[in-house]
Amino acid sequence: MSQLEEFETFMMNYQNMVFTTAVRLLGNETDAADISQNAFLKAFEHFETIRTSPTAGGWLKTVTTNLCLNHLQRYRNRWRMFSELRNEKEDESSFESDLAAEVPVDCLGEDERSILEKALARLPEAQRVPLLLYHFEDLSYEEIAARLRVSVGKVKTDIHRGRDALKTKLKLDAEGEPVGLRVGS
Amino acid sequence: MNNQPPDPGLEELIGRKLRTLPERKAPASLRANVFAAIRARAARPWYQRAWFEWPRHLQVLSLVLFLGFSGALGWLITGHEVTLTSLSPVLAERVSSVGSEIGWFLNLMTAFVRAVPASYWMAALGVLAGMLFTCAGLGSAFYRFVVLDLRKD
Repeated sequence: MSQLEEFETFMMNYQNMVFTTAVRLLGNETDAADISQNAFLKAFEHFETIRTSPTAGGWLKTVTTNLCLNHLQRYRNRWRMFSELRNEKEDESSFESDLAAEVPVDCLGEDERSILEKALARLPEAQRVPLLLYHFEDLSYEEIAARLRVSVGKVKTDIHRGRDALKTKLKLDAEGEPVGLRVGS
Repeated sequence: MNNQPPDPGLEELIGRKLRTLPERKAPASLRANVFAAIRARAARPWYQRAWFEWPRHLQVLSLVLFLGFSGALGWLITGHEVTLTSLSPVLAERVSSVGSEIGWFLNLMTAFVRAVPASYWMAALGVLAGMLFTCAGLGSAFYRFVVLDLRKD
């Protein structure tokens, strides 16, 4: 098997994982596809080393996460420098109004995972990114704060708000069951 | 900042829900795009690649040329056997003439610098430093937020 064929197999094994990581962190499919492409180009550069490594998947996920965080950091810097018109509070209030507009009165007929995926994508970046790093990458609050260059307090608050927003969106009760389902059953 | 206490129940609940999410399917174009980029990279001529990716004979040749040039430069700088006069008397005379003109100009500048009070020079240096940092800052911001953006678009 040639190196390209081997790499194609490698890509087929990991492309969904890489794309999923990117699309959840970025909340945008076009950017996620670009980042996934860059992650695989990096993988190709190091393919001699990673082709037999049992940790290739972890390495690829870390590379993808880092590329996404760099991408977001770059846009955050631009936003900070050139725009004073919007702020985080506005982001959050617009998200909450989106939430109010989109939450169906009765979500019995909706696929819960699909709602969760959409709700996640609509979370403000400041809440979505730390929430994902905490729950999917298993990073601690301190590690997330260091990666995002913000305070630990902000990380905790943003994650808490993100969870609250998801809970609202899913209409979950204290036990984690959809309210509509409980009422209906 | 509103530092809310973590809610272990909600943390566990959301964590559990998030872990049930299935992987998203990568776009069909991803593989084709990656392989197109790999082929484009492979097709680049050697001079557009990093030195470590050059063909072996070009690496050796460039290394020999570099070492030869460095050696020759070092020998010219430190060797006393070769002087400008022995190489070209006319050139040496011209260099000497230019040297005396430079000397005259430097004397004039020294007299001027001594005539102006030191505080004026400090203020001028401050203004120059300010201009330099402003230019560097604006240049960096332009590159980061406009050039990189245009490249991405």
